[in-house]
Amino acid sequence: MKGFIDDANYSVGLLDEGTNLGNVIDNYVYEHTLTEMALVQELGVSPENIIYISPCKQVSQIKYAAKVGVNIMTCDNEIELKKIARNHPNAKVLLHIATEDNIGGEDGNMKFGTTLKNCRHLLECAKELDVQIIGVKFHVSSACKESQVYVHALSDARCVFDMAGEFGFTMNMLDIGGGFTGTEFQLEEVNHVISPLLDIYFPKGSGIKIISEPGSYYVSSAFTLAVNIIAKKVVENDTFSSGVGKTGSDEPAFMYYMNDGVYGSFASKLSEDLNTIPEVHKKYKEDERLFTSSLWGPSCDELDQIVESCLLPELNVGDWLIFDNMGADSFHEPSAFNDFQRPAIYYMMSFSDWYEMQDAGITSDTLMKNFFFVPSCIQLSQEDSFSTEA
Amino acid sequence: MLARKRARPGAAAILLGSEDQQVAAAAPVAGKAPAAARGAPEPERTGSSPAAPSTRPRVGREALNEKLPCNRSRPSLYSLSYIKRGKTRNYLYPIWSPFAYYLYCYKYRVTLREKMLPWSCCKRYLFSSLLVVICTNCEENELLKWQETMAIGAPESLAGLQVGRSTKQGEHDQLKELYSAGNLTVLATDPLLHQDPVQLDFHFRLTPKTSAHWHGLLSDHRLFLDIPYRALDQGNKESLTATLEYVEEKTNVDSVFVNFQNNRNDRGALLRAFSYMGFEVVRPDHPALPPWDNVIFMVYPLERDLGHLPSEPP
Repeated sequence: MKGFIDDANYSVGLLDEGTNLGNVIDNYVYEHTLTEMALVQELGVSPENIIYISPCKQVSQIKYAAKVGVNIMTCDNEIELKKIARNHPNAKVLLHIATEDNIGGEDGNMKFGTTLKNCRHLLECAKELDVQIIGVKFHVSSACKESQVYVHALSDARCVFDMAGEFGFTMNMLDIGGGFTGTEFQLEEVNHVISPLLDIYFPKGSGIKIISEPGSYYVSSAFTLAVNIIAKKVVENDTFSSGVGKTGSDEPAFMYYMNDGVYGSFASKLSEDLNTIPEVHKKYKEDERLFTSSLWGPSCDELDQIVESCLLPELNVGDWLIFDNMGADSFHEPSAFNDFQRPAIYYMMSFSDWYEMQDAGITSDTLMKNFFFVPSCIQLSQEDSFSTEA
Repeated sequence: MLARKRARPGAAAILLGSEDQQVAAAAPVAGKAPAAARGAPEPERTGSSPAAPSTRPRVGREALNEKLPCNRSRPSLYSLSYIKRGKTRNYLYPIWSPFAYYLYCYKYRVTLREKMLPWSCCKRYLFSSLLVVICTNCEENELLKWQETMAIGAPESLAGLQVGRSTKQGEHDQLKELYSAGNLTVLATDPLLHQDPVQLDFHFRLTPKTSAHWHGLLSDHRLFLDIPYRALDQGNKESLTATLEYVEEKTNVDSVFVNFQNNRNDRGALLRAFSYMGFEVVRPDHPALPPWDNVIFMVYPLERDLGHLPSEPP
């Protein structure tokens, strides 16, 4: 693993289970907040390997970072630079440059990252303030489908490296960001596009470290969320938008309320990043009638809708629904504002994986306390799996 | 039905002055039913207006989109809103007359603002969203109304809201400059008055001609910010960073709230952008929130007490 972004989820167990973190991550860990920093340090990552990325850092957090020795930070505007210069004497800054990706188009995007034009100005400021600039970072979001964006971003990065060289900074890090969706195919495609460029612009011998933030990629498929239906309501079929048209309009439609919603694990649904496809857990017959259904969260808010309409067999209160690929951005720290109850986490593994791990010589440090075997209910293959409680 | 030619509504929208001053000047330009010209005497100032804005030149809208230099030294006293109503009976004419009905009717409401208290009542909510919400949530009709307001020779772009001197001086607070450094200027109501809540305005100069404004209300260690128009532009991100820095260093605020309408079509982008900046969504029934409908709140918690975090790495 070259780099790891920690705000994807907070599950300490995921990091602990199986291996010592220090062995796995050989380069850098990214942090957004203080608690993450503390968490990761407890797990044994040394502070030189931690990069503090947050577009708007609090002064208290910068001071804390200075205290514990986290020196590398990102920055994309002058105010942030001045803040860092004032509070952190040894800061090493990665300049965050903007890319062309446009999610949702036109002028509605808060563009993070500085434009190339502004880079020169920032470099001058940094020189005056005596702040070290050591590299460049950019981020292409996962919603962006074109790999050409990477090409342009890399050439911009090269340009910034050259500019910085003029100012006398030694640049030795390039971060190509995250935003890889969970599919291997996309990763391959991106790799295919950028490796030749990387070889040209940043050849291996020049001492530039190239890192990325593939955290979402790793964790998103690792987590599956099971929610329970707590309430059910029968409504007229006309309330749904036409689209799922198989059932006739005289059949009832259902609204199911679940015990987790957009103010909990489905937070990314609010920003429309998430495609939630439920699967029904209980076994049902092939020819069972399907009804138009919509899924809602537990709060009474009209925004708290998980699925607008889908076809499901008739379910009852107490049934479970399964959502795949819920790893990214689903766990948030419970805070005073969101009242979030973290769902219980169970680790599961199929037997073949378990044997494979043992063969590879990886042992688990933590004692696995509760072992029990469950029949495979989720998408694992026929073998039985066992799960341990977090 | 009569084909009514759509024409500019004239100054129907503008007059935001004292309520006595009649909108005789606001009589719509010819082309409408004559009744409309006499629509003024009705206390609510209904008047018919064009409903085909698509032919309007885009200029006005662009002019509106630019950042307006905010020269307000005191909070505005009046706010303008309008409600579009369908067929409305025109009582000046008998029912069999062809002029008995206004087909399209825009009812303008001028709200007198007393104090900007987000949790008091909706009247103030109407106001406290200020120009900002009117502009951000406008459908095209509204924007153009506004454009016409501006275009009619208002001496200053926001003068429409700056009504003539009010005689009720005591009630309206003057904003004083509290802090000014770099590009950020912070204005607040007179701190000597020890009022609660305190209004704080953050003006950030982006270019010599334009600036970004974050209007805020500070109460009990919480700051509520209204997002500026075009909140997601690059310049606004810097202004927000500067604002948050000021708030963290110079005040004892624990949490900063921003809010926006939940039916905006850029809601997803706003949520993503703010959460990337460090804001989190607040669940709707949280006790600290004012009881506004259809609004999403996001909060930026400022960590003041770092004592509980481990200070040495293991």
